[in-house]
Formats: sequence, structure tokens, C-alpha cells
Amino acid sequence: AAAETIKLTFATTLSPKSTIEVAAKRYADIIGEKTDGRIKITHYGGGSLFNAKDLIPALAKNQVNMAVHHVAMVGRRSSVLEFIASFGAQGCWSSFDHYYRFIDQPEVRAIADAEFDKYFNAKLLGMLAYGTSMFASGDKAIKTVEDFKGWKARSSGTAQAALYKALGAVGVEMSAKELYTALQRGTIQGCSTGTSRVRRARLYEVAPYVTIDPTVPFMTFWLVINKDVWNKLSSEDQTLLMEQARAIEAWTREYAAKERQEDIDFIGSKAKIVYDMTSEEKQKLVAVARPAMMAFSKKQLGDKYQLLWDLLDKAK
Amino acid sequence: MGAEAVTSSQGTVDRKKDEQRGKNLSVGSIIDRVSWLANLIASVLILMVALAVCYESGKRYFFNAPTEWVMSLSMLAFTWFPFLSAAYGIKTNRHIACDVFISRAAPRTRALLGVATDLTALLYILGLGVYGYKEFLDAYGLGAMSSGTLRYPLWIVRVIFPIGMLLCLLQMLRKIGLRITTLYDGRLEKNAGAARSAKLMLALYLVNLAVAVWVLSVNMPVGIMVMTLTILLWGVPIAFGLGAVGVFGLLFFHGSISGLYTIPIVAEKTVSHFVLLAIPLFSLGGVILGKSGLGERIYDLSAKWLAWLPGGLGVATCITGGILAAMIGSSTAVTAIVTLVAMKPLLDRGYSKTMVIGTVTGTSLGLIIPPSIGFIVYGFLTDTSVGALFMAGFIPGAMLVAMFSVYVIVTCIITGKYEKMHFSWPQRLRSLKSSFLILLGPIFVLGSIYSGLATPTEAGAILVIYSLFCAIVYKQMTVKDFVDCLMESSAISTMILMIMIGALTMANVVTLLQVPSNLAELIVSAELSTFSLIVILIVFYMILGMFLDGGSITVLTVPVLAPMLSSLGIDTVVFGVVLMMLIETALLTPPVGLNLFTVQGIVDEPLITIIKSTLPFVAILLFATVLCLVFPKLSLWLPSLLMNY
Ligand code: NA
Ligand code: NA
Repeated sequence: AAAETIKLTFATTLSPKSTIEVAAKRYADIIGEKTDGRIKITHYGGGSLFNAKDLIPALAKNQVNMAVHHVAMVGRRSSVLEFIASFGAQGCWSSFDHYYRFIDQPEVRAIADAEFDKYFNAKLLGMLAYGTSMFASGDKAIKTVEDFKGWKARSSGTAQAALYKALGAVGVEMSAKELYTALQRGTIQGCSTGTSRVRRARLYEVAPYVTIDPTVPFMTFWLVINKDVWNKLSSEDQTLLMEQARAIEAWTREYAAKERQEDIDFIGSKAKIVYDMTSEEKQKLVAVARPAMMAFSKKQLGDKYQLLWDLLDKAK
Repeated sequence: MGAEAVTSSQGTVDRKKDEQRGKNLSVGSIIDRVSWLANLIASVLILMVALAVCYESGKRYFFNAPTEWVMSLSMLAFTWFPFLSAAYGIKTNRHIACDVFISRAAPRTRALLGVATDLTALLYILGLGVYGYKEFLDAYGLGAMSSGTLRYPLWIVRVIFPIGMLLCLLQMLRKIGLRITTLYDGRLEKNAGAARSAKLMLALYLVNLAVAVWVLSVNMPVGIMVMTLTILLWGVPIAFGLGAVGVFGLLFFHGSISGLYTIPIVAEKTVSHFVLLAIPLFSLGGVILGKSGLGERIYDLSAKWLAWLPGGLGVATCITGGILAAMIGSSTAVTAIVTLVAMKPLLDRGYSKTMVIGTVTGTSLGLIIPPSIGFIVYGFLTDTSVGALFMAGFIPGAMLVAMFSVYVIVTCIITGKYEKMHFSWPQRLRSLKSSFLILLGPIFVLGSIYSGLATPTEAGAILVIYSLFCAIVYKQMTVKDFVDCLMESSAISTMILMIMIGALTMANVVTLLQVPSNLAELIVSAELSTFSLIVILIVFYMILGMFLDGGSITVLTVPVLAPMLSSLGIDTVVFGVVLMMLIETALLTPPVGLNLFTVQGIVDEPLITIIKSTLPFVAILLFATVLCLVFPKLSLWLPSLLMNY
């Protein structure tokens, strides 16, 4: 007999045409194709169903079956996942590949999976690459670790605040939407924010000294499915969803890198400077950041503290 | 006509009886008192938020030292606000309903139907209460924390859902009880015909509801539409009615009662938005200013300076409307004040009745000229900067004031029905001096937004403090007046917020059904010309405006339309301005036109006279709407100049 059709709802919350949104649509389509329409995933993009914050309880209560959870919203509830998403260990990654090697370790996946099981009533399917950040500054280029001293910049979240403090920068909390005006009026001197935001919000107009931020690699957004829905799937279907999630994960890494390069080229044609720190300065930055981030994460990570830092070192 | 007179006198008797009964019935009067007290607490919370937010902006601006607690505690107060005051809204019948049809029915029919529609509303109240309670228990058990700099346990937020809904439940049961006693206490017509027709109407409502449920089970998108029409047109209060549609939709879509978890999630999402805090703030500031004599002063000023023109007092009325709109965020409030202050002087000076009624009713631009509660709601729904929307509304608003004024001058010259007046310069300067303080209001409020010193929410707090200052200086307000202001403004804001929460619950189902994306595809693939699109939009909103209030129209349509704006080539900010113009128009069109009712309540003329008098202003509004759609620069120039929009 023909197997029963499975209908799943799938919500994402990023801006249309961004890597994650394209990937989500692609994932839904591929699953439909591979099962000849037996599993039908309806994708609700761009926050049309829930916003990033509501999506967490909505998925836990199965008001939507699948979701891509936001790095910051997840990090708020689980410091372990904030760390694994790269955000809780800012300034401690020697390269983008270092970070990818870190999250590709089975132990790291297992820890993340257990966290989603415990706090989000969810099964982790994949870790999607989002994008990287840059430092945008209004009055001077950030070229060396010394340049951070006294630099008044927007910080987002407690981990970033800890990093800024270690570098001697002055962190100011504000909504990302106010960045342009704040930079224009000199409320802040600069910010560390997504490469695509610098381009789309035209921040290079008011902060024309741009430094490629080596401290934050491609952050992870979390592709998850409600645990009850997951448990009702046949093991073949589970395998298919999991395999395709890994495939889409690889796809986001390529796509995000391509998008990033395009953004950097575009910003390069508009900004006064697009500066890439020398490898010597990058190492200095890691040397300053690492003890600060270790101290910051000690209390937060609890019994996972040693394990996670060991896994980070193992991936170097 | 005769039947209506009977109805209304019966209504007064009802109310007096109810009041008496309220005093005798101990349980009922306790419920009433608790609702009253809860609403007072809610409004005092907002007053305290206004003080704290002002303190915060000052501290940040002058000392560059923002506090950690103000934003977090203000948000906490705001999340509690609508749930504390919703029951008082039920008690005082503040939750508006579309009752054009029901209000024509006989008293017995209305009482019986009222029981049925109140029970429908209870479906949603119970849904939010019960599932809100479950969410509260969840947050309590997990120890979940709020976001923000100052974190507090999330259960403190969620505990207000079951508390608020319990108050609503009790107040609703009391209302149902009163309706039932009315049915049996023998004052109503006793004849068998009336009883039969009441039962017939009740049966019709239930059959209609059953048909809607059946359609929902066959075709969900059509079912949602049928059910919305059913529930609204039979007079269920809009906020709870839309929520009830959401309840049915969620049950059917998820195929399980646990689908109702969406209700508290949507409620929490709505009340944890900082920008919506501006609604109770602007509403409180506006009510206080209205009661402290600002209307009279502004009108006196514009009259002294403009009365020499042909139709000068009429122009002064238009200008007064514009200046008031620059301080007050709602259209109906502006209309009420303008009517009270300008009506009599105009009639005394020989202006024709049609012209006078048309002018006082038509010059309501409270939603277009910033600050505007409509823009706050729209900005929230479309994720657009409220600051940008406020700026976008300024030029179209000023343009409308100018167009109204030109119309008044031209008509007065043609008909000759006006009287020129001349005031001496000392008189003019004296009027300027007496209203100088009030004129600073818009400068403070809009200036703080335009210069970027304050967010729209903070500007709302500044307006509250400023209005208190004016009230003290002009000494026109007693303590009782002040308490009335608090009670009234919180009832108004809560009504708006509850409609938003109900409509967003329903919108969640509409989105799940992919109605917006399918509709957008349909419209785009139809390849309509820009002109026909504009015509369709205007007709669509005019039809909605016949039955619904502005807030409901916004929350019902914007989530569906906003996603397709870009594919239609319309800017989100421009559409916001156009939408506010269409809503101002809707407020002036029968059968449901709040501004028409407001004026009718004050001038005591037949509704038809008011409608006819207002027609030219409706035409001007529609003309300006088309102008704004065709020339987006009218809206976009100021935001692009001032804030890189
Ligand atoms: Na206004
Ligand atoms: Na209307």
C-alpha cells in the first residue's frame, strides 16, 4: 500500500534571499523530490509565521514542526550552544576552517544534540552557516589590537561585551536597527556586525573604515525538528532528513562564502578602506581574547567547560 | 423611527436597573470593583512608565549614562497593562463590536443574541487563559528568564495571562447573567411574536456558526473568511471575536487542542514589543491635553490670526485640526475636540450648517499627522521604522490641511455664507501668548523624534509629562478629572491592543494556510495595471471601512498585504501613509464611521446630514490618497532627508 503522506510546517526568520532562507527552501524542495511528494514540507520564510524569539516556544510546543533557530535566541537559553555556535568563544578561532573542524567533530554534535533535547524539545538536524562579521568604524581604521583601546562600539550580548572589555573597547548595547543613526551622530564610533548588514544597511556610508573581523567565523543557525514529530517518523525518513540536512549544511558553507566575498567586494568599492588584519595581529588578538573568553565561559559552561575548550584546541 | 426611540429609552432603563442591581448583588459588584481597580492599577503603571522613560532619556542624553532597569521594568509593566485592564473594558462596553445589524433588533432579541455572542467571545478568553496558564507553569518549571539587560523570571510575565483572563471570564459571566435576568424580569415585550423572533434569530446565529465550522472543515481559507464574517457581523466584540476565529482555525489546522498554545505565544509576542508601549503613552497624553483646554486655546489662536480671510474661521478650524493632530495620536479624539470648540463660533458667524459640520468632521488627520497610533501599529506589523513612518506622514498631512483650507475658502466665496472678522495685533499677540505653551508641545514631541533624541516610545513619555505640565499650568483639571483621564485612556489603549492580539492569532492561521503568498502570486500573475491596482485597493478598503474600525482594518489586512507590496512595486512606508488616509476616510463613511458617530453625539443632527456634509472632505481625502500612491516622494522625501530611509 502507498505510504501515508506526511505534511510538515517549517518556519525561518531571516531576510528573504539570505543564505539561510534560500537553504531552507532548497531543503524543503529536495525532501519533496526525494520522497516523490510523500513528505511535503511547507516553508514559511522571512519570519512570516513567528519571529526569531517566538519560534523557540512555538517549535517546542509543536505549533510549527521544523525551524531554523537563531544563534542569539538559542544562546540565550543555552550557554553551551552559544559556545558551539562560535559566539561564546569570540576571538578564539584562528581561521574559518578551524571553526568548521570544531563543529564537525562527532562529540560536538552529540553535545549540541543533547542540549536541544533537554531545553528545546527538539532534534538537531543541521548546523547552517550564516555569515561573518566585520568591524566598521567612523573615524579610524582598526588595524592592530592596540586600536581597540577606548573604541566606543556597539556590542551585542554578554560574550561580546566580555571580549570588548578584554580588548579595552567600550561596548554600548543598542538595537541593530539604530546603528546607522548612531554612527552618523557619533553616538558610537563603530560596531562589529554582519558583513551583509554593512552592505544592505549602507553602514559603509557612515563608517567607512572597515576591517574584516577575524574573531567571529561563520556563525551557526540551527536546523531543528520538533522531537515528537521526529519520533513518529520511520527510521528511513529520519535517515533521509538527516542526510539531506548535512548536504544542505555543506551547501550553506559554500554559498555563504560566495555571498561574503561579493559583499566584501561591493563594500570595497564604496568604503575608504577594507582592511584585513595581518596574521601577526590576528594571533595577538587571539592571545588577548582567549583568556578573557575562558574566564567568561567558566561559570556559564559548568561541567562542559573543559571538554569544549579541549575540543576547540583539538580542531586547530 | 418609533421603534428606535423605544429601544433607546429601554436601554436607559436597563442601564439604571443594572446599576441598581450592581449595588445590591454582592458578587457582581465585587467583580465590578475588582475590574475597576485593576484598570486603575494598569493606568498608574503606564503613568509610572512615562516618568521612568523620561528620566531614562534625560539621563542618557545629558549624562550619557543610560540605566539598566528602566527599559526592562517598563516592558514588564507594559506586558501586564492590557490584561489588567481588559475586564474593565468588558464592564464598560469599551470593546467595540460591529453592531450595525444587531442594534436594529428588538430588545429581547438583542439580549438573547448577546448571551450567544458573549459565549463565543468566552471561547477565546478561555483559550488564552488556560493555555497562558500552561505556558506560565512551563516557564516556572524550567526557570526561563526574560531577555534584556535586567533579567527576571519569565513566569512573572506569563502569570498575567491567566489572571487577566480570569477577570475577563468573571466580568463576561456577570454580563451574561445580567442579560439573562433582563430576559426574565418581565419588562421586555411579552408577546409571543417577540419571543419567537428572538429564538429564531438565535437559531439563525447558531446555524450560521455551524455552517462556518462545516466550511472550515471542507476548505480552510474559505472557512476562515466565512467564520470571520459570521462572528463579526453578528456582533461579537471584535477583539475576542477575531481571537475566536483563531481558536477554531488553530484547532482545525493542527488537528489537536494543543494547537491553542499559539494563542499565548502570540499574546506574549505582541506585548513584548517596545514600540507598542507608545500606544498607551500617546493615548494618555492626548486625553490629558484634551481635558486641559488645549482645543480652545489653539482654536482661539488660529481664529484671531485667520478670521480676516474669506471663510477664515473655517480655515482656522482646519488648522486647529492639524495642530491638534500633531499632538494626538488618534483621529476620533481630534474630531471630538474640534467639534466641541469650533462648531458654535462657526454657526454664530453665519457659516452654513453643511459647511460647518463637514469641516469639523472632515478635518480629522490624527492618524496621518504624527504622532499616530495607526503608524505605531503598522510599523509593528510590517517591521518598519515608526520614526520613518511618522516623518512620512508629515507632508501628506500638511498637504491635506492646505487642500481642506482651499476648499473651505473657495466654497465660502461662492456661497457667500461667512463673516469676516478683524482682530487687532494686540489681540492676536495675546492669543499667541496664551497658547504659546501648547504650541511648544508638537515641537517638543516631533522635534525629539526628528532630531533622533528620542524614539517614538520615548516621545510618547515626553508627551505625557508635557501634558501634565500643561494641566498644572492651566489649572483646568481636578483630581477626579485626572483619574477619569487615566481610566479612559487605558480603556482605549487596551481595546486597541486586545484587537491586535486577537487579530494576530487569526493572522497566524491565515499565514499557516499560505493565503498571503497565494494571493500575492495571483495578483502578480494577473498583471494588473498600476491604475486598476489602486482602484481595487481603494474599493477594498472602502468596503472594509463600512463595517470595521481603523485598528481592526489595519491588523486584519496588513499581515496579508505587506508581504506582497514589494512585488506590486509599492514602498512599505508609502503604503503606510496611504493606509492611514484610507482609514481616515473609513472613519467618515457609513454605516460604521466612528468620527461620524462622535460628531453626531455632540451636535445632535441626523446622521444623514452629517454624512452628506462630510462628502466633499471624503472626496479630497481620496484624491490625496491617489496623489500619494502616484507620487511616492510626497511621503518619502522627509524620511530620506532626515534619516537615510
Ligand atoms: Na496625530
Ligand atoms: Na466607515
